[in-house]
Parts: sequence; C-alpha cells; structure tokens
Amino acid sequence: MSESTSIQSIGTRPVTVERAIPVTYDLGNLSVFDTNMIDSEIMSSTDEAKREVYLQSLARDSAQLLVNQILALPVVTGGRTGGDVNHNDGVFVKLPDPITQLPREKPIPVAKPLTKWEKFAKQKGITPKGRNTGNLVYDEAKGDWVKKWGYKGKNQEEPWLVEVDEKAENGDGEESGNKSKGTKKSKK
Amino acid sequence: MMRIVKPKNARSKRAMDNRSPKAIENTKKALTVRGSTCGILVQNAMTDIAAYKQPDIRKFQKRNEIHPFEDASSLEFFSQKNDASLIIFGSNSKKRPNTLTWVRTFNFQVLDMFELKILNYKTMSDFKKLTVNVGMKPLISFAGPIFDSHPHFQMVKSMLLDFFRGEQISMLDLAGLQYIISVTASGDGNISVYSGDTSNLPSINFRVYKIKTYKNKTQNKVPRVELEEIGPRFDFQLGRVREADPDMLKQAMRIPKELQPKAKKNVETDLLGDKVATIHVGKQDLMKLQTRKMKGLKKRRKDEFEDEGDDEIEDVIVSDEEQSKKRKRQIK
Repeated sequence: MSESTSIQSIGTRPVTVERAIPVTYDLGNLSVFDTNMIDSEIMSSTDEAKREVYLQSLARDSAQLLVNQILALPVVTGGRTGGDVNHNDGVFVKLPDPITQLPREKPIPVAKPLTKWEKFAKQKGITPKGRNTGNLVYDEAKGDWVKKWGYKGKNQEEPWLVEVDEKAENGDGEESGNKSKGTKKSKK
Repeated sequence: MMRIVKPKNARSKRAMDNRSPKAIENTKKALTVRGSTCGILVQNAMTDIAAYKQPDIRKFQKRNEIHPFEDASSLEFFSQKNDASLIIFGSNSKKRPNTLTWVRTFNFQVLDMFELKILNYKTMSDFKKLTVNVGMKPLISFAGPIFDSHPHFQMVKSMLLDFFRGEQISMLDLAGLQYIISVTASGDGNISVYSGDTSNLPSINFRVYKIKTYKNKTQNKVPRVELEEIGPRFDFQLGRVREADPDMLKQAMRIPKELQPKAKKNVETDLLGDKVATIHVGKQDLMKLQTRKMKGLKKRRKDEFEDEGDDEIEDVIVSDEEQSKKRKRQIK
C-alpha cells in the first residue's frame, strides 16, 4: 500500500530541472556535462550520508535532463531500419553523431601504393573483366531481361526474308508468312 | 615490434583485417592487468569496473612485474597482442596504496595515463542486487567545472568517457536506458590553486545508479526519473599523470577524410541570418549573340570574299613561296 502511494507521489514531482549554467550534451555518447559549481561544503563534510544524498540528487538531475533530451529525438518504430537494429520490436530513437572528440585507437588507414600494372591499367583505362557479370542483359523493347546470345538471345535478329514453301501454300491454302516452326513440326 | 605475419587462411585473414586500421574504428577493447602486488581490494575494484565494460574487456589473472610510469613496454606489448587500447593496471604498494593506473594507447604506444588512488570503495556486492544487462550503453554524467578547466581532469573525463561509452550506435532502444555513471568532482579548477602537486586536487566521486522511470501526471510524454545506487562506489584521488605527447595526440585526433563534414559550396548565411546562394552561370559568348538581322551584317560566302580581296590573297601566296624556298635552303 505504501509502495503505491510513494509511486503516486513520484508521479507528481516535476520532470524539469533548472540549472544556473545550461548543461551541454553529447547525445551520441549519451553523456551530459554539467559545469555548475559543486557545493564544496557538503562534499568536504564528514557526514557521508549527506554527501551521498547530494551526489545522488546531482546525478538524478543529470539523468532527468539527459532522458528529456533523448526522448525529444526523432523516433523510429518497428521494422528493420538500420544496420544496428537486430529485432523488430521496441521503440528506437535516432542518435546524432558524437560531438566529443576522443583519440583514435589506430592511425588513419593509408591506401596501398598502386602496383606497376595497376598504375598502367589506370592510365590506359583498363578495367578488370567482370568475373560475375551474367549472361542476361536488359532489353528495353521487350521490357525484360534476355540472354546476350543463344536461344531467344538479344543478338538474334528476326529473319527479314522468309522463303515461302509453295507446296504447302497450295495444298492448305494458308496465307504466306513465317512458317519456319510449322514446317519443322511437319517434317517429323 | 612483432614480425608481420601473412595470413594463411581466410579466417585468419578476416581476423587480421578486423584488427587493421580503419576509418570507422571498432569499439575500443580493454584489459585489466595486475601488478606484482595487487591486493584483494584492487582486484575487486577491477572486476567491478570490468562489469560495465563487458564484453569488450579481458581480465588478466597473473601478476606482472610492471611499473607503468617507469617502463610501459610490457603494457604496450599486451596492448598489441590483445588488440586492446585501454588498460587498467592495478597495484598496491606502501608508497602508493590501492592504485589503478588508467592507460590509453594509440597505435600500441602509450598515449596518456594517470593514477587513481582508491580512497573509498564499496563493492557492487555490497549494494542491493540490481544488475544491468551486459553490453548496455550507460548514460554518463560529468559534474563540476573542474572537468572543463583543469587539464588533468579533462584527461580523466576523456579517458572515462572513452572507456565506458561502449559501442557507437546510431539507433538507441529506449529500453536500453538502464543506468547512469556519474562522475563528480568539487573545486573550481583554478590551476594556480593546485600548482604541481596532485595530492591537493579534489577527489573524484564515481557512482553508478540504476535508472527508474515513473509516469508523470502532468506531462505524459516525459517520465520522472529516479535513481537507485547499484555500485561500485569509488572515491578516487588523482596520482601521477603522464600527459599525451602533442605530436602523438595530434595524430590520434585526426579525422579521416571520409568522415569529415563536407563544406557546402555557394551557400552562405548573411548577417541577418538569411540563407544566400551564389548561382554560377556559364560565361556568355557575345559573338554568338543574336542581334537584329540585317542584310549588311550577313555572313558572306567565300567566292564573294575572293572577288573583293584578290590583291591581299596574292600577297599571301608570294610570302608562302618565299617561305618554302627558305625551308628548302635550310634542308640543303
């Protein structure tokens, strides 16, 4: 019972924090820098409990300020939105890049010097033959991917002249036209 | 210096590539190393600190005869062997009791380091058991003007932030806001007050709290934050400090070209705060300008031109012949 009443009283406490000197944030690192004066009297006092309460209140204010800032960031809900997100549930906020510059771990990578051949190839504009370029090319006329060559390939042209089989025409009385497929079948 | 090894299979090649310098770097890994004398207090302290650096930390179990401020070559060797650029070295001696030496390396060379003497310590197990999930990013708070003004404290700030910030992410799950690391130091950072000797510098209070949020009645969107201490609790005193070599620091602070913000061309903001753009149009060729069409200005054909200017052309021909004669003479 007492637990619930305390929670209710917490709910009425303010969510804003006032600081004489505005604090600076580095949301990329989830950090906050508070340059306001620390009460040295409390800090140097022998009463440890009092000191701890003061330190906790300072930390709470910082946490509140930071949480307020983080909740104001643009929200991304659900779906695979970025490389860092591994699961779909939960509410995500988009963090900005870190502001505080920290030293690197290793030097900046330097590009390997070009070999004699690479230099020459670059000069001549020789590019390596794509090993994985497939056999398919896009045919704009058909609006589909077709083979570069071979059966139904792109380099196959429609026969511009087709010989008319006189016998077949006379016998069946059909119109002339491209009957190559039909003739093939009739041969069987 | 270790000899350069060529990878013999794809797996080791991937591992080596992962260790090689990158524009966007991996999360910095850490090591905890014990000195030749390292009491249980220091060992516990290192374990507690390591809990907030998991999984990017490795704890060494053996004692090492190392004195970082005299000779840090062993630490540099460990750094290279383990691909770790943050080292906490724990030691306990009569002169320097219960000391943690925080070392940061750049290119496997010591960049900067400082000692933190443990004045007051309460372990994590002394607090009510409230653990946080492994690998969660902490909120970090630095309170006190001294962290901005005093060079040694700036270094402490940089080191602690570097150590605890963990993985760099672009998306944050709001459920991941679990704990805050609060570092506080009193004093105003007036350097003349603390000239030289570090023993009269104010102590650094390191606290870790679990964050609890409560729904606010008036503003539904923003919760009320309350904290509960989960430990460890440290009061540190700054000991010896070795500042970074300026040249090395300059190298370490360089930003790779691909990460530098691109300068926006032709867009400026004027004094009144208005955005001003400069538009570049190609240079106009006035010879091609279409003016009023008149018969007199029309381009004449070649034959018309020859009729009028016969004399001039003959002159030109003569001079041509002379030139060719001259050339022949030269050849002869």
